[in-house]
Amino acid sequence: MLEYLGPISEGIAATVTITALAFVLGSILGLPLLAASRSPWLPVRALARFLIDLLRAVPPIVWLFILFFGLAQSLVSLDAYPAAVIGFGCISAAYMAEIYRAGLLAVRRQQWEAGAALGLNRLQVLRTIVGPQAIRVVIPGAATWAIALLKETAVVSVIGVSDVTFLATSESQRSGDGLLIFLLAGGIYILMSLPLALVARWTDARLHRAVAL
Amino acid sequence: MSALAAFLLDADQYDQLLSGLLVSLKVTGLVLLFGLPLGCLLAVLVASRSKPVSLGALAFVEIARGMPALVLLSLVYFGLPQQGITLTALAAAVLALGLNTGAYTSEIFRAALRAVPRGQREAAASLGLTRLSAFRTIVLPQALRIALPQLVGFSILVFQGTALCFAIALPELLSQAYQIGSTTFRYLTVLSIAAAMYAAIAIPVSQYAGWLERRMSARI
Amino acid sequence: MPDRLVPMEPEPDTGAVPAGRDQRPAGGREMVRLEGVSKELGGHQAVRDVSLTLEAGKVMSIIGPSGAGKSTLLRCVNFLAPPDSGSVFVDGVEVCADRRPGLEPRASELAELRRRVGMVFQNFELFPHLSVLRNVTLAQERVLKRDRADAERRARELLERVGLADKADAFPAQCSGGQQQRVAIARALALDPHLMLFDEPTSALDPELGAEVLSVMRLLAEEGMTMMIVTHEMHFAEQVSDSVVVMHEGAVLEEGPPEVVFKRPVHERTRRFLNAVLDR
Ligand SMILES: Nc1ncnc2c1ncn2[C@@H]1O[C@H](COP(=O)(O)OP(=O)(O)OP(=O)(O)O)[C@@H](O)[C@H]1O
Ligand SMILES: [Mg+2]
Repeated sequence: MLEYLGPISEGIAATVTITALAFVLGSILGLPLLAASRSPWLPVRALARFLIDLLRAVPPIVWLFILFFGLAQSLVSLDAYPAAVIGFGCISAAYMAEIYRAGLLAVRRQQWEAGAALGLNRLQVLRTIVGPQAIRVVIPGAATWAIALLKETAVVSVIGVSDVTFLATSESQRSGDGLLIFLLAGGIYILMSLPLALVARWTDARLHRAVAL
Repeated sequence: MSALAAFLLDADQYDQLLSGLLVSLKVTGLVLLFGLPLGCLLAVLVASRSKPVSLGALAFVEIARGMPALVLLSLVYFGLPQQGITLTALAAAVLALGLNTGAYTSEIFRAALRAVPRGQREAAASLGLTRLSAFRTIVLPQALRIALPQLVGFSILVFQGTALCFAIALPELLSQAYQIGSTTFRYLTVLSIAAAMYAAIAIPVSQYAGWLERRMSARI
Repeated sequence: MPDRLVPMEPEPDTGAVPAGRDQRPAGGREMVRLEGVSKELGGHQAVRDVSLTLEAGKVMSIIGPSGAGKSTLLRCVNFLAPPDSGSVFVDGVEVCADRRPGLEPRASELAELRRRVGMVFQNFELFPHLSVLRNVTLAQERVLKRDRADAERRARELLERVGLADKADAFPAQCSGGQQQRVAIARALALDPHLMLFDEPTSALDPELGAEVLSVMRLLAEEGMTMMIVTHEMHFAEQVSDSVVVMHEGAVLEEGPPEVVFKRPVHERTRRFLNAVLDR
């Protein structure tokens, strides 16, 4: 069992870095996407809305194939690793935009009014009043997405990135002990997601306490 | 429109993509047929009063949910034959994605069962219904109605998950698209059309799920 | 029921004589003027062509049946609900309602208006993630650009006055409803407003807790704050206000001193409304 653990765990670096980079990219790109989806200008709003829906509707592995095989024939040719980061970064942007939106909607509309009645402008209200309250809803949602993303990144093995799943697959072909090896790989994913699960649970509990009071 | 379509791919290739889409939909249906009852069963087992049953079911749920669907699929398709259990690609897909679906939806069912007011069980008991028939006739129908929007939402994830079957050479939509791409070298075109097909199914269904959700929360 | 109200703080004057009203200097200076204010909400004419004036230091109560447009009118005064037409003067600042793009009031005009007008909401709307003290200092720092020390000094002074000096470091969720509403009053007063708007400040509170809030409002009235109060507390309105406005279906049905409106209303509709609420 231990003889398999060594080779598989070499893939942890790729799995974790792709997840982390895509998550950071998505958290940043999600903000302008959210802003666009709430724009007063209809074409901008409709385009952003369509982009968010499309990014989430097409399976991630299909996006990876488009980036990796589809663009390879055109001018820009991407290696598997950057294709994975960019693909999952864009998908994350769509999910994060929705998570941010849910955070804003969770704050009572009257909090905007209370801020405005005190003479604060919209940006000030967002920064000091609504944002800090929305964060409490955003963090558990973002942690849940990060866990899902970690597992979704397993498909990067199909385009040849040496992540946990890729190494497990080749180890299984080499040794013929696939059952054990894939169980081990699954266990590694579960262990990797534990810290995120704790963040989600901890903030979720705090959220419930805050709301209950 | 049709001129553009003909310019992009020829008719045989469309047929090939459509047959792939049908396989994807068929796998989705079979997975739901196997996974949803499993999820319901797991939810009941997790809520069981017997500690070993409850913990065993919970452990199963956490493991089947915790590993990537692709890893579970590889485990079933590549791992089991090495133990002497050989499955067709379709059977492996339905088993692996079904286990995954069961684990995920058990959480949805569990929350829905809890959301049925306690008074309903008490009212049923006061009418002399046994626990089993109270569950079947009173609690479960209400829980299903509560769970419906999320179950519809989850079925989209199952549909998207069928694309993973590319890895086990099941001739679903992505496999067919890739195959056309590898013979014509027009990957971008054919993959984009496949993506549009996924979106054409997923977006309306997710809007339907959203509508169900809003209708539900408006009623409460 | 109001006879049972026991103010938290000792008050100089709680007898049968209407508190404060007669002792305040006759202002004469105009604080609020609404001219032809109208507002439509979701296809419903919530406020119809309302014109009103209120002198500095006076208290106006706005009463009327549910859905009459009282809240909407109040929210038109500080443009939380920008009127569709008409204009609003507060303390020399005029803001015209013009909804046409490019002609709507500028952000700076609204800021100018809102810093002169404090508002107290039915559901308090304290900021739950900030301490009581921070709730009161935030806008002083961001809007009036006071430094932290000045803002805190002013905040503690106001919390003292509403009887909550010891709650400065608590969070809103740790305060009772009555305490939260008094913090909300302190929060609004911290910007040194010239006009205070109250939208049913006690209707989310048990009578006992509402009394704490009403006694703070009495104190304010005695000190000469100009106030517009939407309320269902008829006894309070009768005692404290200089004028009473009765609204019905978005329009002003009747306006006059409390003695007249409560005892000898002109309109049959007012009489029916008063009978319904006073009989309870
Ligand atoms: N956002 C909205 N969309 C549509 N109609 C609205 C909206 N807000 C208020 N209204 C309607 O406008 C009318 C006036 O509402 P408003 O809240 O000002 O009444 P009110 O006198 O304050 O009543 P209450 O005593 O119940 O608070 C009501 O008929 C209400 O239904
Ligand atoms: Mg109101």
